[in-house]
Amino acid sequence: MAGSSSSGIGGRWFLAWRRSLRPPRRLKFTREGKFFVGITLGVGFAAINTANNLLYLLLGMLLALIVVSGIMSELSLRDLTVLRRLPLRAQVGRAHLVEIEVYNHKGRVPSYAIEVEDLRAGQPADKRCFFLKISPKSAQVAAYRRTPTRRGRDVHVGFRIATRFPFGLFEKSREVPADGELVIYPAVDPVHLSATGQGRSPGADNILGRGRGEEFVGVKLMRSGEDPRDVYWRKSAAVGQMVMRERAREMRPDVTLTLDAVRPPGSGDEWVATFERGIRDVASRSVAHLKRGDRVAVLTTAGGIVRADRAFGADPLLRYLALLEPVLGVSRPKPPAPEGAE
Amino acid sequence: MRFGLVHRIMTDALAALGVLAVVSTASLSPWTNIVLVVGLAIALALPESWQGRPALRHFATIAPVALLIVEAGRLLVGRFPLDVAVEFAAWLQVIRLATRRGAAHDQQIIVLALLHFVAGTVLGGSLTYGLCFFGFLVVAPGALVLSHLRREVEGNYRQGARDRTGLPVDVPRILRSRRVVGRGFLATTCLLSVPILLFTTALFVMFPRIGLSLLLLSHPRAGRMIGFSEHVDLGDVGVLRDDPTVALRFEVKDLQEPPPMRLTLRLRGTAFDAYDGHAWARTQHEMARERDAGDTLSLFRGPNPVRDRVVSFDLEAIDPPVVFLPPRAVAIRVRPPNQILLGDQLTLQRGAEDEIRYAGSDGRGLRYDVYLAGDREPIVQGLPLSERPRYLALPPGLPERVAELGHQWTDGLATPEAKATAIETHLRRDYVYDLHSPSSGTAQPVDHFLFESHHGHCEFFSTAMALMLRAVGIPSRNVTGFVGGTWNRFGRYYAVREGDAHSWVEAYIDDPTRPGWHTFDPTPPGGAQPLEPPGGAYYYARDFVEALSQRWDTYVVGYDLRKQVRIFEEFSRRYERMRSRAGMDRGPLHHLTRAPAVAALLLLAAAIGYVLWKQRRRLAQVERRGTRQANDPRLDAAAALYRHLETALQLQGVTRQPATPPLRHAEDLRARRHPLGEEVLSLTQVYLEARFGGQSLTDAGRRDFERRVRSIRLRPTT
Repeated sequence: MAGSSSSGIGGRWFLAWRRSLRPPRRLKFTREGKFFVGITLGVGFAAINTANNLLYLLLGMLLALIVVSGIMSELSLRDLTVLRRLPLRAQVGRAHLVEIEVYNHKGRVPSYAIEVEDLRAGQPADKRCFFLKISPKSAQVAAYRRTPTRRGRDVHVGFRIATRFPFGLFEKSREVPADGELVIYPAVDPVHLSATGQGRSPGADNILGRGRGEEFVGVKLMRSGEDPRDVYWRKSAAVGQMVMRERAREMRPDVTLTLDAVRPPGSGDEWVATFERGIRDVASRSVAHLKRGDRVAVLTTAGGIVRADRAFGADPLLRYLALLEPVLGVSRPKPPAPEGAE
Repeated sequence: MRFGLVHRIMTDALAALGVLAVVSTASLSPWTNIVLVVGLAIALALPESWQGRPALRHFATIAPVALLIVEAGRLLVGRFPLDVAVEFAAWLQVIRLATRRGAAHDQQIIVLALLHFVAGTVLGGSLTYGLCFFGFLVVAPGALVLSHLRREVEGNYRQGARDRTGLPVDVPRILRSRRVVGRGFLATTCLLSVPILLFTTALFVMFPRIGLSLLLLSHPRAGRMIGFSEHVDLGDVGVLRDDPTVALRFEVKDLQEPPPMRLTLRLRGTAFDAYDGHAWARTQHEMARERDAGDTLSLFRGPNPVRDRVVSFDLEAIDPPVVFLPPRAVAIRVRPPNQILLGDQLTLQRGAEDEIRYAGSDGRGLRYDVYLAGDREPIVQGLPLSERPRYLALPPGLPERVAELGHQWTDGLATPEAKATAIETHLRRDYVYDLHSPSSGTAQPVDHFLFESHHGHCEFFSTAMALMLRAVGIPSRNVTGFVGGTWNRFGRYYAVREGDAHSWVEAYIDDPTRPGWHTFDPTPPGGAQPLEPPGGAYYYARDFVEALSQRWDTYVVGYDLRKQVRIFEEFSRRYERMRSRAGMDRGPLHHLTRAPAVAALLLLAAAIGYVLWKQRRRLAQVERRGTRQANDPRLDAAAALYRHLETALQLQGVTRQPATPPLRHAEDLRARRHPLGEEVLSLTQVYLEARFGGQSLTDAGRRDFERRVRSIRLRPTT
């Protein structure tokens, strides 16, 4: 509709105009800068008051230093690219390194005293890296160490690049957007498991079935769509038809862990703390089971389920637990637990 | 060049320049200056390793407190507060230089140096101050930059920031590093002084000089000059003979070429009418404020620039503030210093004995032009009869033989002029000029001079003549001033020094054609010459320095609104001349080439240029951003390729530390002659060009990269 399009265009223009008004750089006085400006103003007042020509000389020098400071800080800040390299995985309570790489695109001018703050959504900027000198056409790498205290999605939104070069009088900074996301897994504690599960007898752990394992259970005629790599050529030649090897599937019983993820109405912080402890407990036990070789399934009372086994590792399960949020409401009936559930 | 060493040298240079600027103002006593300079040298020479010693640490704590107590005490006993503050700041600088540890102390040193220069502007800005200021301008940018960088290093790395792979950074290693500060860095920071100097000069020239004079802090700094105050002891003037300090300079227009090296010009300062046997004084003391319209004072008549000869004077600040006049001066035109809106205006005052004094020049001396009448123009001065007795009075107790001698020399002569000339001739011929007269200190010095020693300096001669003239009935008075001076080839002026101070006589002659005060100088010619020979390398160098100093005083310290207006007028005149020569002052270009129009056009061109430049930059940034999007799949693909390479290298036992950039890692491998060095370097360069260089990797390039990585992976490990 015309009305909505014109208001849409008008709105875009307005936003663009507001963006253009926003200064590309932010300028902040340092403590030394405040003193310096104070001295400059004092000298200026004294010069105008007394018409003392030497004070005019001093005033000129001080003002020139301010102007030169602005130009050199701009030169230092310009044409820098910042890259963030997040680790593959991070966990609550365990420190991880986040690499920050700054590349100087300038052909001849190095950048000095560059400070890069990694900005995360909804959190104060507390991690910064310092680069004393970045030569022209080269990169410098720094890293900061962080120990997460909460699981979940850690969203990085950008960087704040700042410098107080050359004289430390002002801090000039600019923000660049750079999205990044790191999933913080819940903490995992060491758990000691018994050698065998309750109700399971040794020797009955291996249940053969059809699957993709190493061993063969038999042969069968090939059907369309099946993987031709399993064709048993010798038998096929003997039989005159395409015969397939049937692979065995080694199965251990699933270990099922349950987690209450439904938050009762009116519950307070205590429930949340219990929920978090539950997640940590489930994560710890899952990892212990996976190390032992068990397959693990985690069921939540909100109806969610996630599985993991040794072949695929704990990442999907831990990621699920990292992002799990409680659901508000009446809890669903517990699904029937399969055999071997704890 | 080591970062820490260069930083220390530059900071030391700033501190030294600041202390020298203060010392050069001569507001501190000579002994204080000497001890300060020695202390500065010791502080600069102390090795950095000593500054951690307990003794120096204790010194750093105790010394400033002790200094504060001492200076507070001096303030209480009546010292001028500014002098006390400057001394305190200078000593504080020396203490801080000797005991500094860390970037914070270095910044304090720089701030103190700046405050020294601010203080120097009030205390007096001689040429030495100017040279120190210029040195400060050259060194300050580099010192400030290095100080800031050191502060950043100490602040960021020492606070436990795990900068790289979590390992702490070795700050002393960075300070010993030669990679932070190179020749290019030093050259750039020193060259920063050029734009700073240009900006300073532009602001200095263009900023209007209108002083408000609110809350003025005046510092008593005029040098005291003996011989021109209310009371002069016999012998005071003569002892100045060895003092080479420049008291004033004068320029004579239309001088012959080459100008004479010495000019014996008597410059009258003050006169005295009462002699008590040992000292001259003035009977009358009142001063009448005199100033004609504008800046001119008529002594006998108004100035006539066409007919009169003009001599321009540049008088240093002296106390008392006497105006010195050559013979036959008929008018004075002063050139007042900086326009002060609220404050004392410059005034001239006429006192007794035709003395002229000035007030309100803010202790900066005085520039004035004197108009001299031609030799044929009669200058008539009257002396009422009621005034004559004080010019005829002889001191009580003067021996009779002095008067008798005067009569003896003048008997038979008809006119007062002849009598005066006779006395003058006798004294010149029969007596010897001697700075160390044995007649000083005697009970009757003039009598002793005339009859016993026959040796004396100019005051003895002038006093003797004045008394003898009075004895024979001719009114006379003793005059003090300067005789001389000496040509300065660089500044093209004559320099008159304190050693040129001289004493002579004025006798009132009732001449029918030109009655008035006539000048007589009974001092033998050797004693009435300007000081010093003109030749020699030392004097050559000193002339140069004095001329430079005079230029500094005239064009920098003395720069005022008049000069500003003159500069702009001259600029405007030259521009109009250029326009008319180029024919641009008529026709269609007439309006376009007028100065305001040209300035407006230049501003417009600069604004348009700036807008175009900003647009171009914005477009270039958008283009670059387009090829550098964080989510650009091509960039992600390049990064993924490099990760494959890293994995393959790990299988070969080569691991890149997170702190090491990819290119440096590859170069290290090649430098260590690793078998994979060249291949890794080549692949890394491909990665960097694709990731940062804006060159997208084609499919063939990507497959080639993968193939080469596979071959690295499959290579047998050694």
